[in-house]
Amino acid sequence: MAFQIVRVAGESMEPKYRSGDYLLVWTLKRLFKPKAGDAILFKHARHGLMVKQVVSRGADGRYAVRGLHPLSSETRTLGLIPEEDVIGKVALCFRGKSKRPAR
Amino acid sequence: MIHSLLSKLDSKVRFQKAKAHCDVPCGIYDPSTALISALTVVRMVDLIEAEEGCTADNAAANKVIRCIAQKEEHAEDVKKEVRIIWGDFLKGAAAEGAHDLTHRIMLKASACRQGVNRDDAVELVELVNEFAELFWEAKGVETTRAVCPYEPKLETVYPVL
Repeated sequence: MAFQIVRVAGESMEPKYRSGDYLLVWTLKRLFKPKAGDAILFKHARHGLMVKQVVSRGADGRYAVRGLHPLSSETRTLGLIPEEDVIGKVALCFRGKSKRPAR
Repeated sequence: MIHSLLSKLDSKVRFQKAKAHCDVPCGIYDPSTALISALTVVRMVDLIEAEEGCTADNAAANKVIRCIAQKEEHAEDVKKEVRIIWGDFLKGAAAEGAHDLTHRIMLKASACRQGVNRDDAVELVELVNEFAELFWEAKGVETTRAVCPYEPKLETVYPVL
């Protein structure tokens, strides 16, 4: 499969992605190299499947990530994300009718 | 449109969830910082009142202005700390029971910012004392009241640990 669909659970990527949004994620890793500002889907040892935004990519191929919300967990608590744990890059977001205004 | 289609599909095939959770809660909540700030407000009012009539003197004026700035800051700290415990820690009946008290603390702390009235400041300490008792009760921890061992030497709630 060249893509995967996931449902966002949580608020850390607001206002870009809200809890309940569906994301279309490109998973053909050879076709892209995540860069700063891209949202990526990755596996995390403690937290499972997560979506966060890339802050930077280190020389050792590990990514520093963060959420967009001020209270989001970030690299300090998540650690750096190894290249092999990156599943894909978010390409599209499908949002339902919002029941509350964007923050 | 696409979202509702995906939502229907989701109920059948169950897409994986991508976590985008906010901070991992530290679980550290303690009303003592709010109490210390409330006591500081009383102390600042006392220091401001001790300088009454001395504002023609630059040094005294400087001291009064510094005390006013501290009074502002600590009254606001009381509001912030109480809001955090009320909003993040207290749940269910404990949160319901704290609504009115929390609101009164917000109003009283604002009154302390607006004026230089010792009665308001002392009442703020008492309201935060009551909030501390409510908090520790929710944690199942006993409390005691003792006069704090520093100025303004007011009765303060402490947990019995």
